[in-house]
Amino acid sequence: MENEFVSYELALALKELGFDEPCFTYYYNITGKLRTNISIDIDDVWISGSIKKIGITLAPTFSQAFRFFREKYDFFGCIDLHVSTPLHWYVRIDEISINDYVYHSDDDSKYYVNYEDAELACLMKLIEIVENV
Amino acid sequence: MMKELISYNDSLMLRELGFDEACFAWYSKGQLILEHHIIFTGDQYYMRKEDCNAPTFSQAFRFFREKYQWQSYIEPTSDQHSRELGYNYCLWNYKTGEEYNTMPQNCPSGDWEFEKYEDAELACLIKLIEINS
Repeated sequence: MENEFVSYELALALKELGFDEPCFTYYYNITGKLRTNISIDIDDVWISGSIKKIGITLAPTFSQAFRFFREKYDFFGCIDLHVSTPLHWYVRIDEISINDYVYHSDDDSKYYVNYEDAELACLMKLIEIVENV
Repeated sequence: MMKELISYNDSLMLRELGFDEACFAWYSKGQLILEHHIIFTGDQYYMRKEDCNAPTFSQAFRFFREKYQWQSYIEPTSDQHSRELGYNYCLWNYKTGEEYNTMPQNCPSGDWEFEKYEDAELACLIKLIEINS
């Protein structure tokens, strides 16, 4: 289940870019480890942007991270399988409002063997693009 | 945060199709319960027949990728006439070549079916359940 969350380093980068939404859990800054001993009620919104806790970094899921880039920065990350030789997963990043892509991993000769590698690469590229805007 | 999780009915359908993975939450009598201290530690909890795990959308799509070889993605696009932005979904089976999408066949390119990403994502999941049931 921990694979659903972005790494501590990426969570920090997302925080710098303004990510501040309720998450299932968080990282302890002192160790960089994910908090896993959690039992909460569904209505108990214990991790939210309005509750500032010291020494933690929110741990978004990949899906939350991609939504953040769609909604806050207008960038859409897409991962798909390219049936070619070699068969590979690729990453494409669109700027939604101009309906055009700004990055395609094939252009960089980057070919991913599995979906998860492409997903991680896509998120890292989104961070890089936004940091350099 | 809760929009990360698929609905009770869709969770039941996924279970019928063989989904049996650890999740952040589960449905008890249709009510969502977050108990991920148990999930993370690998302990078991008691489930009645009408109870089931509550997968995230990411988990559900991964399940269809890995078990049924269905790749899917959501694509943003803008209508050529109105310039309004929207989304389509596309899914295809990379073993059989079968394909479904919501890109209108007899309309100018750029037409879309869904106004919001989340609507396209949900419709895509429902279609995957339908074609694999």
